[in-house]
Amino acid sequence: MTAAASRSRQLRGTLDLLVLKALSIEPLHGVGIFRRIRQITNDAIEVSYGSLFPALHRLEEGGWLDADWHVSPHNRQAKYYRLTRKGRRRLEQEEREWRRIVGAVTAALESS
Amino acid sequence: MIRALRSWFRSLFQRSTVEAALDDELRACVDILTADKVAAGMDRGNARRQALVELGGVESVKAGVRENWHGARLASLAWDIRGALRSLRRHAVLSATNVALMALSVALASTIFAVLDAVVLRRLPVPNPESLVLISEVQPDTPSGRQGLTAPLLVELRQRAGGDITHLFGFSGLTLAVGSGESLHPGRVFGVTGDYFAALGARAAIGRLFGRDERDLVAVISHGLWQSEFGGDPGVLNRTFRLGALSVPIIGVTSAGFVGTQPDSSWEAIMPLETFQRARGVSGTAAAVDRQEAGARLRAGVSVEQLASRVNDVWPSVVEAARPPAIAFDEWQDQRGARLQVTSLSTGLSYLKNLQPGLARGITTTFALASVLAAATCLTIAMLAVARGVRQQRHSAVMLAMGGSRARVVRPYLIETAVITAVGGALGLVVGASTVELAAWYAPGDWRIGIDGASASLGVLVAAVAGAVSALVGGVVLARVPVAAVFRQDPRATQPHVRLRMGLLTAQLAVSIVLVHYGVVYVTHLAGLLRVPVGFTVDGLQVFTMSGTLPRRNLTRDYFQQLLDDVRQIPGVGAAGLTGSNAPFSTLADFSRPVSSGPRELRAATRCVFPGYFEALGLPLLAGRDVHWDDTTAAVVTANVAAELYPGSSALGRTIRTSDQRAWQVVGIVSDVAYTSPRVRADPIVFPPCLEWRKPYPNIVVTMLTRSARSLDDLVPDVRLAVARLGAHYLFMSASQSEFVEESLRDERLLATVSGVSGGMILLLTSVGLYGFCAYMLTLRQRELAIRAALGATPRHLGASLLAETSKVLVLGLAIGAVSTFTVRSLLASLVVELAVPTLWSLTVAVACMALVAVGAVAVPTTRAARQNPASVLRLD
Repeated sequence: MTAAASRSRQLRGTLDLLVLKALSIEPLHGVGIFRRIRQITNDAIEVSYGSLFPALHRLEEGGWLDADWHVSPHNRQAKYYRLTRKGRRRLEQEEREWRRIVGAVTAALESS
Repeated sequence: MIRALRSWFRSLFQRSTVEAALDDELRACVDILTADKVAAGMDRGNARRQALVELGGVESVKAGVRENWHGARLASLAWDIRGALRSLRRHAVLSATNVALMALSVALASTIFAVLDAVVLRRLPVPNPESLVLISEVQPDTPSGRQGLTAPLLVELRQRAGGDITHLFGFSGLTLAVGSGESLHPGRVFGVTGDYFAALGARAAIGRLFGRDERDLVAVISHGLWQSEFGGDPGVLNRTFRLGALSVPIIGVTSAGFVGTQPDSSWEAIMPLETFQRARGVSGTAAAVDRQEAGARLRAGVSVEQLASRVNDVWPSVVEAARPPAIAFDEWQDQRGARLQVTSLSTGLSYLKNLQPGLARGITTTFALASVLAAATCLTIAMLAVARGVRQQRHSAVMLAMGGSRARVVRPYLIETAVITAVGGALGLVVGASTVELAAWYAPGDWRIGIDGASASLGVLVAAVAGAVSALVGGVVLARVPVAAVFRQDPRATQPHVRLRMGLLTAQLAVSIVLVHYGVVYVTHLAGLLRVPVGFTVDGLQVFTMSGTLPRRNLTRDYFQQLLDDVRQIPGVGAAGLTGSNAPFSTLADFSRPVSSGPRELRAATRCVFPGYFEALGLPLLAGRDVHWDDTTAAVVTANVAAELYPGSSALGRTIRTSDQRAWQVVGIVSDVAYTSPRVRADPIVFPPCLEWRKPYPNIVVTMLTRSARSLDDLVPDVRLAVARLGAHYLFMSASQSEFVEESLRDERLLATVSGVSGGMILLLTSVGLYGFCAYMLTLRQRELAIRAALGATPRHLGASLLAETSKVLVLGLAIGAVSTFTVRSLLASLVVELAVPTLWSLTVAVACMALVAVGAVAVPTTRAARQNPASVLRLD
């Protein structure tokens, strides 16, 4: 695997984790998820819609998300995504993996 | 799993619903973003624009989403296929040409292989064919350099060399009048000796076969004849088979598929040699010196070379022991070959080389021409691949500029190529099935040529290779497209492709000139032979071959006189003549033997005639007289015999001696005549009177010539009646003389047809190649031409300058081809076959044909381009 492909896969994994986390509280439409990610990352991470929507459809195709059409507070029909049971299990698994990697990398950086 | 399948299904079959949902989702996203911005105080128009900018472009997001759908690759492939089909439709002429060329190459490959397999590669359908050999006397004086052996020689050879062989046999074939009832037809029959059936592992379907001890008058018929003539009736064993004058009991039927030693011919009956000789009227000393082809089966562990060494060791003693008492020792020695030659008889190739050298030449030349044609077709396909690649260059540059991968850019082209290959390949197999049938029909003999799994597979393989080469060439052109240079219309962007196409075109022209040249050579050679003055009038001459009923002592002078008188009385018959030999051009066999007068000697054929034969043939008597009924030692000779034996003096009244040591007094001289074939032009011939020459018995088989304006079909019943009325002969074959002329030029006609068709096809291919090249060059230079036209250049000037540029390639290609023609000839001549001789004249004709086609192919697009309105070209640019 090339370095570029590896990085792309890593970034995609991070985005998937953020999307799953954003939806762990309540179902949201695309714009809602975009804003929730900014909110839970304290505006540190801003994903583009060009990356967000493909990620949503990828996760939906994979069975980690489900979607329904509901009327939004703007009085407009919108597609709302929610976590499936499979998605929730993946979120837990991804969280554990993320914490393990971050811990290992932090330990490595803090070592003399 | 179920979710994935549902997603696949929706992606592939409910695409519009899925696309609509995506569209709705993104619209909702834009509406929500817009509403929030309006709520923040922005006017609606600006808010919407900002929302769209924030989203990053609806189509771009959609493209990103689509890539994540199940079946996305398949859908993309379907999209590319639709695009490729659209492109093929848009360039219908180019696509059709491509498909046609692909079909042509596949059909050619299938046909070549089918013929090659049936004629050259296929082994004789007998057990262990590799141990079968042919033993021949090496005779440098004969056209093929070899001859068969006599029956006594075979017997002696078996006794002396039996340790190295398990079976030894002789076989000799002839077309005779055969049939099961009153109605006879010409059929191929074989007389065999020794262990023929045992050596070939033959089995009887019914009845029995015979061995070397068979002395009875019997015949074994072929499975095909049993089915066609007797309807497969087992009671055939109690029937008799008419073989000329003989009625022979049928003792057995060979199993289906048994072809004997002749893979190219269907035969009807096989009989012991003695029966065969009786049917031909050969007996006594003539039977003892009658030659047959000699075959043998090697004992296990013995090689061809070992047997050759062994039989040559014993050859002198075999010759001595097998001499017929009636022939003097010296004469017998003179007639024998210096040594024996042993060659394999296992494949069609060995059969052709040994027993059918003329056919081998025709087939080899056909293969050579067809292979060159196939190569030229592949070159044209490659050129068209470059053309298709270059056509899509600008489109590819746009895709690359927008970030598409090179693989993605090449894919539509590859799909287009695959479609062309698949359609062209399938069409080629269909056409191939027909061309194989045509080849089977056209090939002399019955070779059981047919398209089978192997030849179809080869056709598919050729299509795959041609498709792969096409994909590679065009794919490279597209994948390596220099984007910036293409947009700048920089000529350097296309320079490599121009060079590549020039190279391919030059190669194609060189190959073409070779084919066209040989087409000219063979066609003019045939035309020349058809114009050869044969020495007599062919038109209005009919040939009737008759076989006598036994006993032949009834065939007296009075009988023949009466026969001729009766036929001459038939209304519309102007003249009638009889010969005990063959009609002109009815056989290519060489009957020439030494003829001498004093110290001078030449080789001449001896053909006996009855009085009135020359008048019927229309052969002018130059001096002296015709033979008379009561002549005993008189003979007529052709002018070239007289001139050779008696240069500067008259031959009339002089005595000549034929190879049987008989003396004849020359009483007449007829003009030179081409008797064997027009290619011989003038056969030296001695014509003795039949009644004297064939003593004590006249010929049992005689040929009558009639000269009449009536059609053959109209005349046959009257002649048959006249012959049958006298009760000593029956008519079994009739033909017009022109049929024999055609048949005698069979090889030349085959070569002329094949090379002429190949030459015509290559001219067509070359015109396609040149047209494509010229049109391509014009597309590249469209802008420059428009500017020149705008500056005042006339269409004639522009056309002339374009023609001059193309002519460089033309001249180079033609020059290479002209040199190659002579090289190809010497190469092929050294390898396999002697080709016809190309001359400067034939080369000039070929070059002129090619130049004419080239100028036509170049002139059409050039004239069109030169007449284009420069304003519209520059405006579109």
